[in-house]
Amino acid sequence: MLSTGSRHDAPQGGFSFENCLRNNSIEANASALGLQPPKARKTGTTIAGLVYKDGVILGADRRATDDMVVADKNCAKIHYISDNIYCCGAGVAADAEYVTNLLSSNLAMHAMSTGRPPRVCTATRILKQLLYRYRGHVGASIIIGGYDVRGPHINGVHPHGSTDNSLFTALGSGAHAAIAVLEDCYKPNMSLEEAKQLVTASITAGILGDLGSGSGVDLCVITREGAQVLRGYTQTETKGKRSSSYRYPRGTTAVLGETVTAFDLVEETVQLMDVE
Amino acid sequence: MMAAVKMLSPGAAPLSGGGESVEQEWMSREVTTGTTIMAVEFDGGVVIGADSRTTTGAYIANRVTDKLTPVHDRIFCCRSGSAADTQAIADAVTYQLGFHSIELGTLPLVHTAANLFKEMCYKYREDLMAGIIVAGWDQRKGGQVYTVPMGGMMVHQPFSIGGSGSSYIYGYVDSTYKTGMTKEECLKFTANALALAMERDGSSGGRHSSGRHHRSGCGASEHRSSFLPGKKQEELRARVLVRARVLAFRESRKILGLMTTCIPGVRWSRFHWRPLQWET
Repeated sequence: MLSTGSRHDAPQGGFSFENCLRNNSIEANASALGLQPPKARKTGTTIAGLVYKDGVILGADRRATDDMVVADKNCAKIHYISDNIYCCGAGVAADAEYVTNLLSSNLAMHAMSTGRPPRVCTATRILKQLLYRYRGHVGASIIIGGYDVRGPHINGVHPHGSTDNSLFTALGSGAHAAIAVLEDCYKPNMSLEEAKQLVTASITAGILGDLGSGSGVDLCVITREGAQVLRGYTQTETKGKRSSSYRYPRGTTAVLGETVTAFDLVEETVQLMDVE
Repeated sequence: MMAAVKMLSPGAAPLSGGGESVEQEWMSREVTTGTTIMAVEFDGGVVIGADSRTTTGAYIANRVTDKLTPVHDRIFCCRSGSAADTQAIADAVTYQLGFHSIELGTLPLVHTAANLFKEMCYKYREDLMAGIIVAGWDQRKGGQVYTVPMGGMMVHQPFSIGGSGSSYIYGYVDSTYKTGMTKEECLKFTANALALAMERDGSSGGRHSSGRHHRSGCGASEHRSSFLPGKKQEELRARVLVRARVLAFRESRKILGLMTTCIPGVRWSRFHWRPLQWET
């Protein structure tokens, strides 16, 4: 291709990476300056998904953490993608949120241009190609679950853009505990109730075994007929109840005597102030 | 915003050992296919094989991975290295090769497929971590195996091994391989080599999957087997899952894909049971 612009023209548009140099020098001298580089907020999370007899079930915990602080005790980690596809997000909270919103929009437009309901593999591919472009800098780990013309599907998508297709999977910091429960108890063609119980058990295992996960379990059941989000399916951490009152009852301290003194009004002065 | 404020305040040191329980290293590590892959030519086709383990650091991200990826009806690639990179390359090559095949009006050559892999792997050699074996069958030269290692070289070999586990079995394959092996001998050779590698390599393992594809009647066929690595390698628990003569290859792949994710060879109640742990 022939370049038409003069090489002396000032560059227009595009990205400017000049801050990278500054950031590198700050980072290199960070300890000397007593600074520390900023970190993206990662949600310690347990998310899981499995295929059962009539569709798929996605599960997630409800805790969002900021370092060692529980930032949100009731956050929603199961996101809407389309009527027949939902996904759970883990990793960098902002990335997971934005990437799922973007995916939802792109998939809606794709569905409109094809005139068909979207498919899970399409969603997975859009997502993996987006994540691959950013080489892991978009730190979203996502489980996509849905029911389409090919039946029920569960796909795991990792931050660098690799995907895997499976009958059950778990991601996030609580995934070890969750996957152990799934590996032990999963069997094909489970009933709805069995499957709900298994997902709940696996997320609960994540909650109990991982400090970054907590609060309780959200579920999402997707079948041929549609999706149903069960917010707050279980509550693992409830506020402790006081077994008794710590208030002293009236009359605990005995009244030994009572004196009433009346004051005489000697003088009363009223002063006016200038108030605008 | 919060983070930026934090950076500028020198006093904001983290609590000792604070965030570590929330953020483990394997979460941010890249997913790699710590792998053993293999392909052997025989008269009329090739045997390809791979282990099934995908790791992020020490964590097994997927123990039933399919690293034998189809790029055309009778050409496969065995993937090793970064899962994201190799999946992306395989997707791109599948597209290019499919397009080429439509323009050509016939099945593409294995050499062409290997060349496409090489082009990508060489052009982006600084950025990619991918070691690929391309194997398949074509009308002109029959079964062929091409190796495209990291760096983007391309070389034709009668058989090839790759991935982290391959270094443990160079001696075995060099001493065992002989020219003119039959399909059955090749299958056994592949199975034994993979079993040996999986036993020694920490990041290879799981269930071995091997596919054979060659010219048979009007369609290609494939079979997979699951078996125990280690001392029991002689008692191969081979299971022929699909053996279709007329079935289009993509169709049988589709069925196989579903079946392999179900792993009928493993009983569900003992899903966590792993041969390697069981034996010792």
